[in-house]
Amino acid sequence: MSRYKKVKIISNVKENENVYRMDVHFDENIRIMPGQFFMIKMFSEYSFDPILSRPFSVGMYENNVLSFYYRIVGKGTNLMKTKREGDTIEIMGPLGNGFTLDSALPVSVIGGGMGVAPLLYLVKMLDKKGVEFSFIAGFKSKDDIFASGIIEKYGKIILEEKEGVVTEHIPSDRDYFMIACGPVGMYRSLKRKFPGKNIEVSLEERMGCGYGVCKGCSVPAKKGGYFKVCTDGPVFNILELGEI
Amino acid sequence: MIDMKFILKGITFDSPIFLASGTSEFGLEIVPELDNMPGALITKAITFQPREGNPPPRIVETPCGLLNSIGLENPGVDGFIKMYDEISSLNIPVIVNVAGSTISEYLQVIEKIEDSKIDIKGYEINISCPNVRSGGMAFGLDSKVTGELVSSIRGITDKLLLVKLSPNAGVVDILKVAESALVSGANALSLINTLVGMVIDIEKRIPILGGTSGGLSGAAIKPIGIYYVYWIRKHFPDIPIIGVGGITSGKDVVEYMMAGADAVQLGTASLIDPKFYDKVVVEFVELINKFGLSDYKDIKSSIHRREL
Repeated sequence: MSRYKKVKIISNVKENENVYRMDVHFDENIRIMPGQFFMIKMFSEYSFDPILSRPFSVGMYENNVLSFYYRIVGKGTNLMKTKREGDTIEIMGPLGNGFTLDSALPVSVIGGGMGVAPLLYLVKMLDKKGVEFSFIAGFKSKDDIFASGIIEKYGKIILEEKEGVVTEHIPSDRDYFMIACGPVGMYRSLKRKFPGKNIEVSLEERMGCGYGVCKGCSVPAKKGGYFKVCTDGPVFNILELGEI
Repeated sequence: MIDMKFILKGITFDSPIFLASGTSEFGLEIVPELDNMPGALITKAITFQPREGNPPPRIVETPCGLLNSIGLENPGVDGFIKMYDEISSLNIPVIVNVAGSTISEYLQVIEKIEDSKIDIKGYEINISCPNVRSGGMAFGLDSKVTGELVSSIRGITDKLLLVKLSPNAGVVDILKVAESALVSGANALSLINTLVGMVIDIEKRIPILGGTSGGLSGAAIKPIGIYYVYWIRKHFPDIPIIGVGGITSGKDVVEYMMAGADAVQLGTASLIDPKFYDKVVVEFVELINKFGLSDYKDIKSSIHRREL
């Protein structure tokens, strides 16, 4: 009696000091688009603390195995990291829209920090579809890097403390369709650097339900009013967003 | 087989467990997925004009609870009437939660709905939303204004009228507000709405919520809801009471009923899992069976039969 599905954890390992990767297994193959997310239930039958589920982007999905990359921040993620191989967890999804996969232009994929996570499955799918793309993933320091194997397979790591912020490294040899995921400061700098350009960005916001009912995850829309990150997004054209 | 019927003002509801206002929106995302049809759907609060809601962040989690400052985001009464066909296709009895900043705004909403002839079962008057600057909770704290509001509404509709009370009135004043609502024409009281609360971001040294304060809901407030139901029942032995606040299990429904509720509403739980309603109903029926009862109403107000 739940829209949440029980899935088995097949591994839950440290990627670096603060970031973990949890892999869960589906019995059947489900269709998941890069950029979509899942709600992971935190409470159990016996405790309602924490009461809310948490949204996590799809980090990778192959052979019925779905990976979530998560940074240890608070109550929920500290609970998550205690889960072991063989434990089950309840998840709902996939939810939300996803990134554009069929751009006419070559794609420039730009990630910053934790925002690199949803881009890993994106670049894998772009590669599979034969779309021309470049991929840069910026991390403040060496200690922040995660998923280096996947990043280096499809693109390049930028060490920001040595090489400057990732937005300084965006290729400009030709016209690209840009897809970015990172902190809000990165989006502001993209907006300044490329005024009027359509850039797809993925947003993160506190969520209540994850399926459009609570109106908790609103972000200002350019045209007035609000978008819901969970059902209107989480992927938006940067030009359609109000102040970010 | 237990008899789940609940009758209020001549209307038979198939279950005494409703979906509360604000946490199921208009039922479109939740009702089609349920195996058990809720007794009624209480809509998100409807105001005269559409409302965009409060600036984000709008929700913050607290221990076993959820503090929200959504700010009554809704499509306005015209928008609601327009989408009613779709809601009506769910085949669930609908009770419209109505909010406003002034008495005339409440009346305008209800007049429009009455004129539209849509087949709703009744209204739940929201005099207790803590998230709008004027009106809202202010009505729920003042028994005189509550009386004026409810009698004005009673003047323009014969439909079922629930009045949703605020625990923020406190245990003394809520009795006056309840009395005033009842003598002015309310058929039943829904209690409780959320409790006003605040969470502070200590790094930024500001409240986390864009609306500064918010309304607390979820498992954390259940004992308060139970107490208020008990308290109102103690003073008004015969009026219909619909308990709401922090229900997450069949046991919680039983507690509310033993405290004096005739029916209950499921709120925050359905927001955190759209199929929570089914779980609660199944557990409730199991408990009633376990007690060896054929009618759930036999547990109602049981604690009042003892000296308290």
